[in-house]
Amino acid sequence: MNFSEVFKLTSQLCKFSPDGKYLASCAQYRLVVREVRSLQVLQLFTCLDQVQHLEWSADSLFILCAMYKRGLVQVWSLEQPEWHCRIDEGSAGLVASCWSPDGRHILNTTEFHLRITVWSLCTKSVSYIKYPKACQQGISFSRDGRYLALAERRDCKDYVSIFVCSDWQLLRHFDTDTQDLAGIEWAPNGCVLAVWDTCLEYKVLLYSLDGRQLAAYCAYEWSLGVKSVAWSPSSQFLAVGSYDGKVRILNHVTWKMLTEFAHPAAISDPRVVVYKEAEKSPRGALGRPACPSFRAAESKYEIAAVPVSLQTLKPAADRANPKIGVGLLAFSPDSYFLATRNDNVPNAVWVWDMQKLRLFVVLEQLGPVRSFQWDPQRPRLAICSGGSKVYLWSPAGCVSVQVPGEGDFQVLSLCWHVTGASLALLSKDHFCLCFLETEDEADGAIGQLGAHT
Amino acid sequence: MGDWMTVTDPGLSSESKNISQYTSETKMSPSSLYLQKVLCSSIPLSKNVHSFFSAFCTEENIEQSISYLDQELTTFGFPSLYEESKGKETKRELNIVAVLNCMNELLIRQRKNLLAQENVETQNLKLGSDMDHLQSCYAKLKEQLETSRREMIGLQERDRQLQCKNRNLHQLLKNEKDEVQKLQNIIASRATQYNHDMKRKEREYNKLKERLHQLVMNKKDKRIAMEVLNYVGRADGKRGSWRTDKSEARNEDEMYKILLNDYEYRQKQILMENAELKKVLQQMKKEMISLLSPQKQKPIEKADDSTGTGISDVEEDPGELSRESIWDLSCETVREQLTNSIRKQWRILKSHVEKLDNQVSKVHLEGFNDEDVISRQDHEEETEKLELEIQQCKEMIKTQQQLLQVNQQLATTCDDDTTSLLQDCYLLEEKERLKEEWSLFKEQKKNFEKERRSFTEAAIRLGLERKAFEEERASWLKQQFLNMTTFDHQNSENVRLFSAFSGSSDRDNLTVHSRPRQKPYRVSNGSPICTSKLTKSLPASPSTSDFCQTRSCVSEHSSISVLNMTPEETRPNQVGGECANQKWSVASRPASQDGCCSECSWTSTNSHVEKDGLP
Repeated sequence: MNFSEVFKLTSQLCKFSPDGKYLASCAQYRLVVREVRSLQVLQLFTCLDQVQHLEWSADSLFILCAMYKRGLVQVWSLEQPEWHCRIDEGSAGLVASCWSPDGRHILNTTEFHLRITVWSLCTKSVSYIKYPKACQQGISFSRDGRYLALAERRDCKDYVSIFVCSDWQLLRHFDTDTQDLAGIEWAPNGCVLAVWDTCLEYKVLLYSLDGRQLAAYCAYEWSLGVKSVAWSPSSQFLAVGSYDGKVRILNHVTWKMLTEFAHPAAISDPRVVVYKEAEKSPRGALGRPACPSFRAAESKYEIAAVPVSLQTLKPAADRANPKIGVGLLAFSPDSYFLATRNDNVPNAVWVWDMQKLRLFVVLEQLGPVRSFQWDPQRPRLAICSGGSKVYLWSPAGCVSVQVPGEGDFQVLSLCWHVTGASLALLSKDHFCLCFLETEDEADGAIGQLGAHT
Repeated sequence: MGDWMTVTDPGLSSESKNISQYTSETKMSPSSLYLQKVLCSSIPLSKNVHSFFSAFCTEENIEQSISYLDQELTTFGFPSLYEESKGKETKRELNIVAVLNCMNELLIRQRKNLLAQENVETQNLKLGSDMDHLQSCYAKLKEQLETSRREMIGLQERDRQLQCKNRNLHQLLKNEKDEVQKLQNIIASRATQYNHDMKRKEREYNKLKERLHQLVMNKKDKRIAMEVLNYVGRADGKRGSWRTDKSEARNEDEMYKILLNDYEYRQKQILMENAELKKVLQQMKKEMISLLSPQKQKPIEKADDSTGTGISDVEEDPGELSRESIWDLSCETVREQLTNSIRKQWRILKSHVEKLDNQVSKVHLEGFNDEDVISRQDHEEETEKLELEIQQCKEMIKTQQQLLQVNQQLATTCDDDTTSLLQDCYLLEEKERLKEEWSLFKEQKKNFEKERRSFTEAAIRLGLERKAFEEERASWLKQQFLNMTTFDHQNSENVRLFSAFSGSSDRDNLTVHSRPRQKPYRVSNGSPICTSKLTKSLPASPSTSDFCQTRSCVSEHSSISVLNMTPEETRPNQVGGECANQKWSVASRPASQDGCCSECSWTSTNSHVEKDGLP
C-alpha cells in the first residue's frame, strides 16, 4: 500500500471523475484537476469565490462548482480550458446544485425550495420545476439516467413527479400516502421507487415507474421510524434502517420483510468474528523519542473471543436527532454483504452476510466510525474513524493502516476510485491518495519501475 | 415398698380398707376396734406383722379368733375350719387339716398376690415410663403445633400482604394502562394537533413562498442568467427535440417498454427457477419410485396392511410416468397431480422408513445370532477380498507417493525458479534486456549466415574461375608445348594431371580442412578476449550497458572481419548463441544476487565458450 503526498483541500471537496482518469479537488476558490496516475496537475481553474460544492458530469467532461453563498455556479470544461460557463441565480439564492445524468443540464434549487431551475448547456432553454420539497433526499435519478423522480409538496400533501431526463417532460405525477415525505430512491434497475416517511412515522412505500403503489410497509407505530434506506445493487433487497436499532430487509417479490437484523450490544453467536482494534504496544522506550508523533498510535486488529459486549452510547433523550438507530447502510457491489452502523454503538461496523442472512463480522474501532464505503469492484470495505488511520476489511480479514506524513492526518471521509485501485482520504484541509496493490497490478508497477531506471 | 403401696396404689389400699371396714362393720369382731386403731395408726404392716398377729390372737380369745377366722374364711369361700358337726348341739371341733389347707391355700394366694403385685408394679413402671415418653412427645408436638400455628399465621400475614401488594400492583398497572392510554390519546391528539398546526403553518409558508416567488421571480431579475462561452453539443450528438404529444407518447411507450422488460426478466427468472424446482421434483419422484418399487413386493408379502397403498401405487406409477411430459405445462391440475403423487410417495417412503426402523430395533432386540451364523462364510470371503483390496490400494498409494515426491521435487525446482523470478524484479528487467539482445544476436547471426553463404559462393566461384584459369593455362601450356616440341607430349600430359590434382587438393584444403584448423585457432584467440572482458566488467558496476558495448564492439569487429574473411568472424555468432544459453541459465538460476546476475551470466558464457572450444 502506497500513499501519495498530501495536497491542500477545503470543505472536503475532492472527487474522482466517473471515468477514473482525473481527480478534482478544491482549495478555497481554486479548482485543481489532476491526473490520477501521475497526480500531475492537469488544469487549474479559478472560481469567483470559495467553492462549496463540486461535481463531475457523468461523461467526465465538465466540472460544476457551486458557490451557494453567492448564488453562483461555475462550470469548467476539461477538454477546452478556455470554455467557461457561469450561472447566476440572483436574488433567488441557491441551496443545491447538481448535474443531470446526461451531463448537459444543471439543476439548481433556489433558496426556500421555491423552484428548481434546469439550465441547459446545449441550448438557451431554461426549465423550471415548482414546488420541490425540502427534504433529506428529494431528488433521485434512475441509474440509467433516464428518469428523474422529484419529491414535491403542494397543499400540504406529498407528491412525486417523474420526469424524462432527455426532454424534461413530466411522465407521471402522483400523490404519496405519507405524512411528511423524507426521501425517495430509485431501485438500481430503475423500475421501482422507494419512498419513506419522516422519522416520526415508520412508513416505506414502493411505487412502480408508472406510478402504481406496489406495496407499503410499516414495522411499528408510535415511535421514531426510518433513519436510512439502501437498495442492494441487484435490486433484490431494500434495507431499511430505523431508530429501533434494527435493519429490516424487504424482498423484491412480495415486498414483505425477509428478515430483521438487530444490533445488540452483546454478541454471543460463536459464528460471528469480532475484530477489535487495539493499540499496538510500543516496541521499546528507546526507539520512541526519535519519532513519537508518527509511531505513537499505531494499531492492529485482534480477534475477540466471542461473548463480546460492545461499547454503547447513552443517547440524550431530550434532544432532537438522538444518536440511536441505524444511520449508515451500504451494500457491497456484489450484493453479498451489507455494512451497517448503529449510531448508539458508534465504534462498531456490522457486516452482514446477505446469502445466509446473518451477522458475519463486527469490527470494533477505537474511535467512532465516521464513514465507510465499499470498493466498487470487490467486496472490500474502507472505514475511517476520524483518526490518522484507514481501515480495510475484506472477507479474508482486516487491516489498519497508518497514513504516513508529518503531523496528524485525520481521515474524516474517503472515496474509492472506480477501479478500486486507489482511495482518496480526506481530512479537514488536506487529502492524499492511497494506492492499493493488486496481484495483476504489482507486475505492471514493477515494469514501470524498470522502465524508469 | 410400703410407701409405694400407699402412694401409687390407692385402689389396693382402698380395697383393703374396704375389706377392713366391711369386716369391722359386719362382724363387729372384738379386735375390730383395735384393728381399726392399728390401721389408723398407719404403721407399716411389715414391721408390725408379728406384733399384729400376736395381738390378734391371745390365750383368751383363741375360740373367738378361730370362729372369726372361720367366718372370714367361709365368706371367702374356704371350707370351714371346723369339722362337720354330727349333731347340732355339739361343740364344733377345729379341723386341723382344713386349717392347714387353708393356711397353705392362703400362703399360695399370698405368693400369687405378691407375684401379681410385682407384675403389676413392673407394668406400672413401664406404663409410667410410657406415660412419661408420651407426655414429652405430647409436649413436643404441642410445641410444634404452636410453632406451625405461628408460622401459619406468619404466612397468612405474608399472603395477605402480598395480596395487598398484588392488588396495589394491579391498581398501578391499571393506572399505568390508563396512563398509557391517556398518553397515547395525548400523542394522537398532539399528532393531529401538530399535523393541523403544521398544515396551517405550511399553508402560511406556502403563501409566503408564493409571495416570495412573485416578488423574486416575476420581477425581471437581470442577475438570473447564464453566461456561457458557447453552447456545447449534446452528449448523444442529437439535437434537442420539441416537446410534443408525439414525444409524450414516445416517452410513455419507452416507460412501458422498460417496465415490460423488467417484468419479462423477472418472469424468465421465475420460470427458470420453477423449471429447476420441477426438475428436482421429478428427479425426486423418479428416485422415490425406483427406490420403493423393488421393495414393494416384500411388504406385500410380509404385511397385509401395507398392500393397499402399495398396490394402488403400483397401478398408478406407469400412468404417471407417461404423463411426465405434461409437467412442462404449468397448469393447476397438473401441479396438483404432481404434488399429490409426490405426497403419496413421500408417505410411502416415510412408512417404509418407519418400518425399517422398527425392523432394525427388533433385530437389535432379538440379537444377531441367526444372521451371524448364516453370513460367517460370506464374512470371511468378504474380509479376504477386502484385505486383498487394501494391499492393492496400499501399493497404489506407495507408487503414487513416489510419483508425487518426484513431482514435488520437480515442482520445487520449478517453483524456485519462478519464485526467484518473482522475487527479484531486476531479473525481469535483465530478462527483458537479454531478450532484446538475443533478438539482436539472432539478426546478426542471420546476417553472418548470409555473408557466409555469399562467401562460400564466392569461394566456389573462385574455385571455378581458378579451374577455368588452370584449364586455360593448361591449354596454353599445351599449345606452347606442342608448338615447342612434339615428343614431350606424354610428359606434359603427366604434368597437367598432377597440377590439376594438386589444385583440387588445395581447394579441398580450403573448404574441408579449413574448419578443423580454424577451431583451435579461434578458441585460442576467442577465449582470452572473453576473459579480458570479464575482468573488465567485474570490478565495475555490473551493468548490462557495458555488456552491450562490448557486444556492439564485437559486432563491429565481426562486420569488419567479414570483409577480411578471417575465421574469427564466427565467434560473435557463437557468442550470440551462448547468450541464448545465458538467458536460460539466468532464468533457471534459483537465487541470484541483485547486481551480480550479469557477471554470473558472463562467467557462465565463458565456461560455455571454453567447453565448446576445447574439443
